[in-house]
Order: sequence, then C-alpha cells, then structure tokens
Amino acid sequence: MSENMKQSPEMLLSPLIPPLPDDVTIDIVARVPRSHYPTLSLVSKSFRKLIASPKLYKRRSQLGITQRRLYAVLRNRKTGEFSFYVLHRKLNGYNRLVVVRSLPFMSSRGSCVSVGSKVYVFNDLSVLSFDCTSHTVQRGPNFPQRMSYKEANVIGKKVYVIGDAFCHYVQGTGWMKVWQKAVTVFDTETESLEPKLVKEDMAVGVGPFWSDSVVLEDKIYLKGYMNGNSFVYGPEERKWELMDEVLNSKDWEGACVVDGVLYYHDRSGKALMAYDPKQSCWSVVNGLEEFLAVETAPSRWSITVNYGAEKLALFFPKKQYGEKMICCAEIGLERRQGGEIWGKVQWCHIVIGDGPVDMVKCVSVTV
Amino acid sequence: MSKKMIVLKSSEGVSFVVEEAVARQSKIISFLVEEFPDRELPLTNMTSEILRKTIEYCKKHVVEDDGGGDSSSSSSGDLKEWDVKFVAEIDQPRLMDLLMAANYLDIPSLLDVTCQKVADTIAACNDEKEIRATFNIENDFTEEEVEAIRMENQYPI
Repeated sequence: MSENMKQSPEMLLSPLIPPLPDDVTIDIVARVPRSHYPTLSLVSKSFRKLIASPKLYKRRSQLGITQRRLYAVLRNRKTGEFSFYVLHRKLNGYNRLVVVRSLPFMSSRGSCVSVGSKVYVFNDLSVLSFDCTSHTVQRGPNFPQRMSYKEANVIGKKVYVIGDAFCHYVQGTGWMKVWQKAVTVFDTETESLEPKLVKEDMAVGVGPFWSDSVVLEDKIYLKGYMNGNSFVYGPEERKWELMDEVLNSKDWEGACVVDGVLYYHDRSGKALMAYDPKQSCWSVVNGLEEFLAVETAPSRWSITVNYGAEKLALFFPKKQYGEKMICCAEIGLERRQGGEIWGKVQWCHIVIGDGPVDMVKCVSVTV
Repeated sequence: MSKKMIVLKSSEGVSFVVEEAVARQSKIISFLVEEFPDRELPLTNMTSEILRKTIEYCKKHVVEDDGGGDSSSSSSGDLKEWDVKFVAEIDQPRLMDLLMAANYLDIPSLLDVTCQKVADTIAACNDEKEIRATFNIENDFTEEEVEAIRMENQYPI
C-alpha cells in the first residue's frame, strides 16, 4: 500500500467546526476547561482525535491555560497493590478520586514525584514515567544499585533520590561493600541516572528514619521520626547539615511547599501550620479554625499537596455512616499585610468512599 | 495634526474610511498599507456588518500616541469589561464570522476574545448533542461507538 493510501482515512476526517480552520478550533478547545473534554470527545471522530492528541495539550501550555491535576497513590488493603488515581472533576461538579487503569502499580517501596506534566516513579530497581496528558508509560533506566527507604525530591529538572544503598566502600588498599546513605540523581531531560557520592563530613546512618521530605530554597529537608535524624541536603555543595531547630521543632508530616512556604496539617493542634524559611518561624494559617475543628477533628493522617499558586489540597480520612471515606479540601492561601497567612476552603468533597484503601502519596502535575 | 486615513471595502462594495492607526491593529492591513499606500483595500470575504464590527473593536483598542503619554483610549480593566460586553451582544453565527475575520486579518487580541467566547459557549452546552447543534457539526459516530467511548470516559483520559 502506498504512503498516500495509508494516510487517506485521516485525511477524510471532516474539519472540527466547519468552516473554521482546525488551527483556530484547537485554539478554542484549548480554552475549554478540561472537565468538558470527555463530552467533547463524543461530538465527532475529529473531536475525539483532537482530545487525544498531544498538539492540544501543547497549545494549552503555550497559551498558559494549564491546570493542576492531582495524582494519588492509594494502597488497597486487600490486595496490597499501590495504584494511581486521579482527582477527577465529574460533570456534576464534584471531585472524585478515580483509578487510572492504564497506569502500572507502584512498588510498595517505591516513591514518586512530578515534573511539569510528567510523573516519575522510582521503584525497587528501575525508573518509569508517565505523561499525564496521555497516560503513556515510558520505561526509564535501572538503578545502578538497589536502594531502600527512598525519598525523592525535585529541584529544577533533576530528581534527587536519597536512600540506603549497598555500595562499594574503599578504605586504604582494600574495599568492602556496606549499606550507606546514597544520593542518586535522575536527570529528567536526559532521562538518565547518575550516582552522586555523599561527602563523609557527616555520618548519616542507614534505616527508615525519615517521615517526610520537602524542597525549600533549593535544599532538601528530610524530617526524622526522631529529632536527631533530621537533615538538610544541599545538592550544590553535596553537603549534609543538621536541620535548624525551629523547623525541626514540629513533627511535620504530609507537608507541601506552596510559593516557598512549607505547610502541614497539625492534627493535634487542629491547625494548618506554615513555615517561612525567610523568617525561620512557624505561624498558624488563619481563617480555618472552624473547618479544621469540625471536619478533620479525629483524623489519623492527613496529606497536603501543592495545588498551584496560592492553593493547596488537604486530604484526610473521615468516617460517615460507619464507613471510611477520604475527603479532600481545596484551600486558597492569601498573604496579608504584616505577613499573616489566611486560608479559605474553596470546596470540600468526599473523594473516595467505602473502599479498603489508604492514601500513600499525592503529587500535583501541570497539564 | 491630521490623521492619515485609509479606505477598506467590504464584500458588498461599501467603503469604510478608517484612521490608519486603527486599521494597523490588523497585521495583514499593516502589511498591505506599506506595500500599497494610498490604495483602497478590498476585503472581499468580509460583509459590511462584520467589517463594521471589526472596526468598532479596533477603534476601542487603538493606543493613542498623540495627546501626550502612553494613554490608551481606556484603562485595561475597562477594556476587558468592554470586550466581554462586545462579544456578549453578538449572536452565534456572527460570532463565528467575526472570529474568521480576526483570523483572516490577523488581529491577535480580537482572535483571543472571540475564541474565548466560543470556548465559553462550548463549556455552557449540556451535552455533545447541544454542541453539535450549536456549531452544525455532523455526528459521524455509530451508536455502538458512542457507547464504547462513554464506557471509556468513565475513566479519565
């Protein structure tokens, strides 16, 4: 069959909106909120093809009409599987966590981060990624050595995976293999892994002693379950430091960073706490007292995630009619004069109900 | 100081005398004015009605250099409000014509506003049938195909 013949079925597709040139229609569809795309894909074959094409998402990002989408990893208590879910706004306006069946499971010892429209998953032995505009999965390189207790954080286009690795250790004339903390860098542009040596100026032991980690001012902050195990890693100088006392004074977990400020939900204090590294101090986010006291009162866990500029999403469990559910609230953040931060709940929905699932992790992507 | 005027002619042969600065918001006209100064510019694919609308938009958006300073004819907030009203008053078929005109004449800001208005119209439709009806799009799916896509759409794309 000739090249032309092969292309002919595509050429036969009618214009999207006659008589507009398709380029113009792409500009229009790019401006339509993504939640309408399922409906648009039912309009005609040409529309269905457009909604699935990378061209449309490229145009959206050129026009700056991107949206944040949240991808969560949920563990099924019955099967033990770690599956990816997406927070999906239904046509009725409610947000739900919906499983994305085309995505692979994550290893129970895995870790994931987002860069732009992509999610990178660091499993036991290898890296894989998927693009959230199409959910196409790509296999990446294997880890040079097996890594345990991984914490992955993004600075620019690089992912720093910190964990325990069984490494060669050279001493004098001989060498041995020992477990030690190692940093492996994944470059998202070249899609390659490179091991980085850790300078020996601070002994950071091995083991699962970090409860959370975030990036503030281009440094990785690793919070220990015990205060003595909290460290800061500066990739520039490849240097470890002890975390400063103020930041280490709170047991932050499920934290996120929005506009350079760290936020976490303090369950015992029933408050959303903020830490500004510029001022090295903690403050309570105002305006959420009643919401947090009523809605999130006895929750066993909570996870916050950056939801774009001046916004975060807070996930927490809730029991209703004897059933366990997961709720999500979108919270707008506003810095007022004098530096006070005020929060406002934009919406709060039950995003997944009555399933034997636990939330493991949530990442925010730009699509 | 007298302003330089140019003449644009619609498909019905009606002439519109427009200040050059106003018409130059169209990149195509801007180019044509330089290539063919002092010539009437025929716009054979634009009706008088659409041309009048286009000129109305350009007049509002022209940045006046004279009169001191960099004052545009309106503040940007007012201008946005005006734009919204401008496209709100136009019915669907004429909106499409205006969008085509903005595309043909290459007036980026007018193309932006009209595209956004069409996008809002799509978003306001209740289902795919309403979208098809509004834009005269032919349904080339079989019922089985529609059902299959519906099933797929239960899960996010």
